[in-house]
Amino acid sequence: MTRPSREPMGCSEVNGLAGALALGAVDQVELAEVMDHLASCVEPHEELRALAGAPLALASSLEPMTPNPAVRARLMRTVAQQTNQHAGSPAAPVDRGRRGRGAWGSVNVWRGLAVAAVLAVLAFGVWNVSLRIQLATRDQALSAVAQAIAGGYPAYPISGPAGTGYVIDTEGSGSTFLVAGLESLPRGELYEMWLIDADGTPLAVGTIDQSNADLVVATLEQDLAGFDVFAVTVESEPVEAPTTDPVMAGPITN
Amino acid sequence: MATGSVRWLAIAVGPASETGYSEVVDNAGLAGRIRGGDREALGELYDRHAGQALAVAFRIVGDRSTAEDIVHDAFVVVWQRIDQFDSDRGTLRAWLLTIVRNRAIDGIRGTRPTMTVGDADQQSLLRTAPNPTWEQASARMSAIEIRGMLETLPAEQREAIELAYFGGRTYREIARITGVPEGTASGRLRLGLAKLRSGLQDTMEQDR
Repeated sequence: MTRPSREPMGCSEVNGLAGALALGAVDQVELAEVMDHLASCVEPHEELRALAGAPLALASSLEPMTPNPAVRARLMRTVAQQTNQHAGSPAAPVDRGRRGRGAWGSVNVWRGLAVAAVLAVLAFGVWNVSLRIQLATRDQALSAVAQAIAGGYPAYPISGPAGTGYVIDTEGSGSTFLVAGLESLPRGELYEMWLIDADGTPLAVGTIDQSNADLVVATLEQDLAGFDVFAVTVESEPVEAPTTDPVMAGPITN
Repeated sequence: MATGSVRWLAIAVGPASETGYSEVVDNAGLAGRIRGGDREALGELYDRHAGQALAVAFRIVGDRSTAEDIVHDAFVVVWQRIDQFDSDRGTLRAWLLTIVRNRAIDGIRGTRPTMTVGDADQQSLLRTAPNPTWEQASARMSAIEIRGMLETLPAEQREAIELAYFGGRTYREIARITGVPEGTASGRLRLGLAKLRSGLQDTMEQDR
């Protein structure tokens, strides 16, 4: 199945992946290539569509279990404290993202770091941060960013010593962080992503543990609205508040 | 859910008594009520599908308490993101179970949620309409019947399907795990699902 990554995916390749696609068993980059193909292909790809509902039947192959009434009660308590997004006022994030005041000082520090990061990007070229980055990977990332921008989504450059990337705000359905050539970390360390609001309060929004990939695509449930800065730190484990200085950062406001 | 969508599905899958049409209509009503902020509607959805959702989460993570947390969180996602549910691409039940499965997979991989509702929708973009065979089998056949059909598949195809769906493995990972070329792994998934679909169709036609 391996093929030159710059070559657009053809119908036969898409059809060959029909089963994997139905079960979500392709990586995000490959999924994006399939979606690109389907967006412009006139062929019906009937097998692909025929297999796509398989997960429901697989889930239904399991005998239902008896739910714990306490979970239902907890659910009702949780939603009683929230209004769903469609019904009106903003909902609290469902993600376990945790807000905590770190030892980073005010948001102005963040803004300073972010501005410096952007200047660095402008000085050295947005994606030309490392000779290790393969052209194909860079093109994929650029293509994803270009598509997001073309789709009307804002994309913000995020950079620092660890690498250079973009965070894209797909408003209403979270956000996506793409970074090419992210530095590999020693065993026992991981990258943690943060959104920082105007008060300088960081919200943990996820970790990246595949830092040896040429292109990392991290999908976040959290929208960017209400935050001023996106940042990445290196931690030894997922933490409530950052314990180190950021290795990447950038402003996410216009 | 648009009325037209309900009608389309009803036509596609046949008489209501055989196909779960009433479930489709009820789900459409539930989705609308949840959109309107009706918490009781979410409770009804929970009462209908929490057992199945718990089974999926438990099968993946192997720990009841963790599975219950996943189910709880998935229903909160439904509550918060109901505006992203598109009935033209499947039922509310299918959407819920996709969210549960994806969060459970994130759980076993030791990551925080990475598969968003948007991702689930992106995958469902591969469908342009509800998929009658799978929806119908799910509504009409028992778990043991569907499992029986799975067990008729060649062992290597069944293994690949289970690694993908319940293990969250990509076909490339499955190839490495099972020691076969990537094309073979993706082919097993494709052939296995095609056989499963065909078998489910045959069984349902015989039962008519």
